[in-house]
Amino acid sequence: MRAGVARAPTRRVSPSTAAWIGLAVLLAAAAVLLVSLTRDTTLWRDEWTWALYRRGNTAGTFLEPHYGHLSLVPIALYRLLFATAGLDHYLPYRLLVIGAHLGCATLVFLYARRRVGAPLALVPAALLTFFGPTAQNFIWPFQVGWLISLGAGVAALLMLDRRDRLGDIAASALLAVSLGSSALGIPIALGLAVDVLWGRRNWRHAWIVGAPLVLYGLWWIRYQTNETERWGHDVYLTPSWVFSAPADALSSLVGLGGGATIDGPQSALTWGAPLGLIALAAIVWRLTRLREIPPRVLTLITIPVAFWVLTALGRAFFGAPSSGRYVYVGGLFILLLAAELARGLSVQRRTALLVAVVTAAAVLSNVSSLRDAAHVLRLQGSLTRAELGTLEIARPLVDPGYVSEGFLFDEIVAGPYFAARDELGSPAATPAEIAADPEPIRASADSQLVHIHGLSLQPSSGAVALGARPVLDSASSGTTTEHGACLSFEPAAFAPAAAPVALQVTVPPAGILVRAEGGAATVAIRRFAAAYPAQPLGTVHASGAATLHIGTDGAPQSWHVRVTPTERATVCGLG
Amino acid sequence: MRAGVAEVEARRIQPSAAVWGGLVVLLLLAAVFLFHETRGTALWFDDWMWVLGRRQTDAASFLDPHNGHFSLIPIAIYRVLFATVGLDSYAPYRVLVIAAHLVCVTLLFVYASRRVGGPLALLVAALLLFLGPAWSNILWPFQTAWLTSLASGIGALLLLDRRDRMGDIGASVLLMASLASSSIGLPVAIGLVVEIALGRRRWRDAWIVLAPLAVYALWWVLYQTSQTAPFTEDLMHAPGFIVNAVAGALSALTGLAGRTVPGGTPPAREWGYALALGGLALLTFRLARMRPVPARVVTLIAMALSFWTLTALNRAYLGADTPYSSHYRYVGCVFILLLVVELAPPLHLSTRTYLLGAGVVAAIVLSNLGAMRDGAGYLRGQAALTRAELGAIDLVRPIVKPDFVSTALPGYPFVVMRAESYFDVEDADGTPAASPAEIASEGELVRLSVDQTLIRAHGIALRPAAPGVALGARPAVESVTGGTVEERGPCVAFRPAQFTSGAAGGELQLTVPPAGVLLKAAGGTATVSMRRFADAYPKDPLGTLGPTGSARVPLRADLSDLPWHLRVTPEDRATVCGLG
Repeated sequence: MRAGVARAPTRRVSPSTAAWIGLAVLLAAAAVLLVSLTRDTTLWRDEWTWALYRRGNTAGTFLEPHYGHLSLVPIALYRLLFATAGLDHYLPYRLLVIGAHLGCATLVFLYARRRVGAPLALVPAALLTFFGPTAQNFIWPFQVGWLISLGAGVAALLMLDRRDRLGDIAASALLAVSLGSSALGIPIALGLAVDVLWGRRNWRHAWIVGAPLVLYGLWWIRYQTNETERWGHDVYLTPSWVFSAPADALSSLVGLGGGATIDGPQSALTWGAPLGLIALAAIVWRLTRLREIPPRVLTLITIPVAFWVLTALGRAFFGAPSSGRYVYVGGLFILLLAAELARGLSVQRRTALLVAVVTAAAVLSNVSSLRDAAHVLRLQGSLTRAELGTLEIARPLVDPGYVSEGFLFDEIVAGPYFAARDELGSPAATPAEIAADPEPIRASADSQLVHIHGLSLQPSSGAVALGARPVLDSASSGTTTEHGACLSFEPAAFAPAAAPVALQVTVPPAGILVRAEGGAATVAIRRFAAAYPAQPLGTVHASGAATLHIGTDGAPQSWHVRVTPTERATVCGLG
Repeated sequence: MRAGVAEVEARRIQPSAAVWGGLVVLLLLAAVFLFHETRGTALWFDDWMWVLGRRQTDAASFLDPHNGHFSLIPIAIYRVLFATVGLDSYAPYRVLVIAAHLVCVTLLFVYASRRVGGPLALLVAALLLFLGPAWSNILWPFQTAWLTSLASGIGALLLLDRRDRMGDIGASVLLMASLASSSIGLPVAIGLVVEIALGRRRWRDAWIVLAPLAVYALWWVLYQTSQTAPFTEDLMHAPGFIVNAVAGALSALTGLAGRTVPGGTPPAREWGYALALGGLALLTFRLARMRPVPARVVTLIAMALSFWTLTALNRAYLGADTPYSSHYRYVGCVFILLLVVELAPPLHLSTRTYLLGAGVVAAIVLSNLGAMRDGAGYLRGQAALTRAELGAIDLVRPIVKPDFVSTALPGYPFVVMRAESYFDVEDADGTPAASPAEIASEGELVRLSVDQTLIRAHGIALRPAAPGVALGARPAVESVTGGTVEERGPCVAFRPAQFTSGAAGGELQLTVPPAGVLLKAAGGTATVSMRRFADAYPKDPLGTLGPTGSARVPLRADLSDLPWHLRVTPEDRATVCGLG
């Protein structure tokens, strides 16, 4: 019976095809996740420097260094985005960085596939794709410059593998792109120099690295400024920095970097130290078993070590080796080195399964870090939009030289911002959107508006014209009396701790007069926030009086004042 | 053929002239670097305990324990320095500790070169020579005591290697020197007991350690007081202390110690734990391959373990960071390096491998030089404060009470310097005290500290204002905010503005006349602060006047013409008058 039944032919999917399908699924899932997590983000920090000051058409606009980096390629991309998407829509910027990140992951897959086979190559690709502790590099579009440098570097290594004329030309061009995207191109150039000179032992091939380096050298002579003035104490910090950086990257790769923020893993060295020592022992063990150290291994050691040394020399005074953007670079090259060292090793099915489980656990752990980092970036987006919104609200009042609050490096100056905004649009929040933001953001908006309006208590000169009586918001531990344009407040004999003495009013359009009798009265002000700030606007001393004038602006929301008197106080609306 | 191999081996073991030359260059470089880094340092902390408390010529001055340590030799050395160079210049003290450190390094080199050959011994010596995380033992002269104990200990081990009568006598004498310099001599003695017991296995040789130990025991019976108060608590913490001490030493030896000066961030532990685990694994692996385990290996393990255990039993209660103290790191590192060279298998390194090792050591040294500079900077900061505080006491010499104690002097309350004792020392041996001009050029924190000391020494405080107090010159107004002032005879009257912006209230700042001021508040309280050398007023005010209160702040002349400054922060009105 059995023999008589013809078995239908089964079509097996080859491991290689399955791995490609797996990679596609991985990348698609990552793309969806990253687009979702970066919702509501907007231009942040250095991006504003480019939006405000890199809009000209001179060579300097494209070639001036950005913190020492030649950023020709990313600036050109941003210029393209400014011209097409403007500043209103951030999605194209997000797609750019996500695309660059997934491109790097694909290149790592391609590189590893040629060393350890397609199924195992999925491991480094998955680890890099969901490298959550380093999220800054792939959820913040500004870091696209670094990703292009890295992607071009990995692609150049793949091109050099071809060992033909076309491959060499492409590698040289890709190195130029890498150098033109960020200073990461320098360690990559050093690595490629080792690869070409050590691997080929033929000076005729030096042009592959030499040509792009000559171009970079020309740029350096013409545009670079001295970035080495801080090398003093950094020299001493460099060795331990360089030793800790790979440890941080290792623990982060396997999901043991601890909690992470947008700046990177928080306790990467806890697991990184033992993992680093084990990895060092494993590398030494592997190298002793290789009759001769392959040039590519040296290349892949040279690139990250050069990156760490150069970074430590320039940044050790303020940037920890566990900064996410540095860990990403280290992690990528550790993955490439692992693939290179694993070349020729046979992996049993059971070991492969174990590796897959560990990879899945690492990815799961790192997705959590990714979500945390994205949350921080979304909050920064809300804050940025609200601060810009306040500039829009008070545009007629803002001095062109006014430096916006809420930006770490004072990136937003009112004049250049309005110029960029008029040309490219703005992600600024409307008053209604600010009102719907969380309380800390509304408090920040209030703080900025108080400064822009220049709100302060002013002398009450003689008889002032009174107008509409302020609307009473609340009065606690005291009684209020309305008379004419004024509200008088008399504190109660005692005040419970839960209801301190205070009078809260909505400020009429023309402002208010505050008079203190018998004791001082402290005045605080708010607009979008629900609570008054800790810092009062001022104090009216006993028997003193002061006025508060508030100019009109573009928001319909009223201002509110809280008066906290030690004795009696009167608040009148100005005419 | 065999003889030829032995000859080659002997040549390998004997350091060549080039290696000795390399060591001399390293030592010279280190001497210059360390002397430069210790510029601007001065007698500090325990130094002052000896300056103040070990000046008599009775036996107790030399033999009383110092924090439990038998310190006969370092006290004798300090006494020689007090008598010859005094206290004005710290340079001879700095030379002393640097020289003691270089001697330790040289002895380690000699010890290592006989085990692993000169070139590798040079790398081992370089690690100790620039062991920045152990900066306090290298830069602070007081730690000469520990270095003497350690150097004597290594010297004793080298002499025991001779296995002759002369060597045994020398080892015994050096052990005595080690015991008489600090308690580091105890683990050294324990190690040597193990060495004699396992290595010689002859009771006839027991005298080598028993003779010095008998002398030490005699001292202990006569002079040692009980130091075991927190013993039970320390016992509980001992295992953790030992693990952390090993971690601290290994992270220092690999240049991965992180920040090592007191204050700020806690010491980095991550690398240390991983290295300790790795070190334990390597030690176990190596010992398992040694049949039998050499007596010297057991000796060195006994020294290290007994050092960490005894330290834990006496110091663990001081806190979780104590095992990472730089002086403990140094001792741990010396024992670990001795053990490593003892355990090292015969090595025949290629030039390339040696250069790679030298590169790694160079990177470690570079990292540790940063820690050394941090430590030196810390000591210079402490010295600036010490000199300024002494300068402040000198300023008030005519008026200060003899029992006045500067609570801001680094080391207080362990160092209790009464003004009277300090003046005695100053008259006898000089002082590193800063002049008023030098105090004025110090950093703001130092000047704030000096001001507080001067306020305490002068007894400056708000005092009841007796009716009819005589008035004199009017205080000079320096600044007024949140109000207006009116000058009336010898007084300045402050009236607040109708309102002030932000959280700031009204404020009046004045230069105080030589005799002091009379203060009156009206309508509200008035807070009063004073300063002299500092630019800013201290966080804690001198006092606060009640809403209708008045008070005097009388001043007496001291040895500086620099005037006092006063800040009044009234809730309402305030008047300040110069006293006559």
